[in-house]
Amino acid sequence: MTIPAATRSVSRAGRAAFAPWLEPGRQPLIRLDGVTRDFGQVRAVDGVTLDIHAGEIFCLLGPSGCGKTTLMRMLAGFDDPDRGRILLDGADLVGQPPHLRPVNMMFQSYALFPHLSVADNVAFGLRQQRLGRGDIADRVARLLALVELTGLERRKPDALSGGQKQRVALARALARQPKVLLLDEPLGALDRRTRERTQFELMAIQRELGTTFLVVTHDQDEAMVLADRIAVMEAGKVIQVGPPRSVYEEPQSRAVASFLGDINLIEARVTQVAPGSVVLACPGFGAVEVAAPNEPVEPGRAVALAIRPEKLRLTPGEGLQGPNRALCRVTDIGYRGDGTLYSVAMEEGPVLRVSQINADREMSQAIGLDDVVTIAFSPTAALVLTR
Amino acid sequence: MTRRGSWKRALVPALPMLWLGALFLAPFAIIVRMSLSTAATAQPPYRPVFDLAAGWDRLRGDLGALDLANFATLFGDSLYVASLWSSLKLAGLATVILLLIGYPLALALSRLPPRWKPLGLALVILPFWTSFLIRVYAWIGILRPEGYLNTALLWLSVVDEPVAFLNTDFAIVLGLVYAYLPFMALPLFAAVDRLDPSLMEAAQDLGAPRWKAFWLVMLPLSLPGAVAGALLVFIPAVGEVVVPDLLGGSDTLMIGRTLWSEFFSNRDWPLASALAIMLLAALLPPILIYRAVEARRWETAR
Repeated sequence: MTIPAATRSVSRAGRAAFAPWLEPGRQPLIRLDGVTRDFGQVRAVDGVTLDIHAGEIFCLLGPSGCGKTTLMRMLAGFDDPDRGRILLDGADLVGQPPHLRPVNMMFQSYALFPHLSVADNVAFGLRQQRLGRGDIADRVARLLALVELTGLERRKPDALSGGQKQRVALARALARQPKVLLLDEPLGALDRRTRERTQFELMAIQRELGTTFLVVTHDQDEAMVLADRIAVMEAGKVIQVGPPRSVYEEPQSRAVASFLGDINLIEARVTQVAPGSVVLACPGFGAVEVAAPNEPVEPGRAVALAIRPEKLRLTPGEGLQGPNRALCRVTDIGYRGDGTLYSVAMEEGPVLRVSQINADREMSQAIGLDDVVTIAFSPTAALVLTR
Repeated sequence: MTRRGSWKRALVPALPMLWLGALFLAPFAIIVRMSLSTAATAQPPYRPVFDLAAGWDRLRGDLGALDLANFATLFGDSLYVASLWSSLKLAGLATVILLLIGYPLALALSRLPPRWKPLGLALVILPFWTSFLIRVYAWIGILRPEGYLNTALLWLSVVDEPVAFLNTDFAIVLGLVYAYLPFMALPLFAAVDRLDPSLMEAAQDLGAPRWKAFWLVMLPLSLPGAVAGALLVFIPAVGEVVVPDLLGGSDTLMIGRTLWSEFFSNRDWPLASALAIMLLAALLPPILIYRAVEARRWETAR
């Protein structure tokens, strides 16, 4: 039997070795340098320093009010920082009005001009460049073909579905061939089914054009699927930057760990330090052995043991042997079809969440409410967080 | 049950129809009939007076006495056409100035933080709390040769002797603009405030400087509000009496004033009625054009 090779790799993770941020000396396309913006007493953006490279899909991820939108608006020119520089290809953009910046934006509301047809919406930016009629018509036709809207040229935005509006907005923002495309919650207004399809279309278009995308979103799933790198923001600051895998699997703080996905955080204390691993005194588990954190720790240090629900193994009864395990009682069962999320309480210690994939149809019936179960994890499944 | 229901439902559109019939069509019919009569020194001051009690023959004779002589007078004497023309010009000029002032005002109001908006709107409406007549009188105090404006200009040495502001067309246009600003600002505000602010940002983002974004996006999208405001201002301004009477010069021709003097000074009710009909006829085309434009907008919106 032969296994067919993937004809086109869709997810960003499948893109072989695209990591310009790792190349020393490489000039970034965008450099944010100590960018700060105050609104009255509130510091919306607080000393953000970031490099974004050409060709990246870069996501600013954070809860509402974290400053990600303000940061994007400063790139577009609708706002300017109080301090700091915003360099694009080495030139400072600060103070330049929006219509002169080689940057375009896809608005969250799409902001399609309701009095103009689809074709006129897409042509709007081209008309400002004083191109010939023929050139404009050609480019509009190519853009509409790119977003698969050929045939809807004469429609008004009100007569389009949500997904179609999104694609008109994308075509309009791409028309001027911006150096950076800013996308404000690009999938936020779409229903779930359209979202998934649109996500992949966005990535395919980005790869075809090679345009740098800067995406602002509060939706971690959206960020994980789309992004080459994610910057997690909180209270105006960037608290961690990295590819989706590293932000998810190697969060550097409790804030990042709990913002991305679900995670159990257990307050613990370091008891022994060995090369490559540490031993923690952890309520409920007793002594647990975990891979050493990046930052050196000394015995006695208060840390958090962080472990995601899918990385805990769950077996009925007192079955599991070995270290890093605890006996628990099931207090809640959330059946989701493809998997089940259990809440388990330890004799002495916190309530943990454990998720299991229902790989067998019988599986979800094996564990019931109030059953005694054993949970366990391997040393590399958990993390030690010092911050 | 259903019949009763449908009867009640028919009542709802019938009420405004009755209103329109009683308060617009009936008076209008009286005006038309009066415009076809002849002035007389009597009570009422026109002939013929229809008397149903006098019998059918008499009534037929009265009907035969109606004619278009008043309209012939209107077009025969250049005074009336000239005063209509000058009213249209002054009201048109005031409307254009009001649009130029109204847009920035409406935009400023719509950009106020939400908790200041009601106060801003209240300030626009506030002048209505004082009598219109008193407010126009106040302008006399400002504009007259020894008024506040001239005093200030003399003190600043901008002029050497008082400028004759009062009793000029300038004063009339100023008075009209002042009096009708809320009627322009409010519909414009309603039209502008509804628009998603990111539309203007999108236009700028796509390479249009601010003025061009206004011209290409804000203006076409707020046009219904601008047209509504312009009509709301232009129509009453054409027939305005108080402003030209108090601020205008003795030689200023405005149709409202001419109408007033025909009615009350000359006691020529039939001629005044004919003049009122001529005014209405002059104002009809812009209203019809507006209606047609609105109807087309609804069509295409579907």
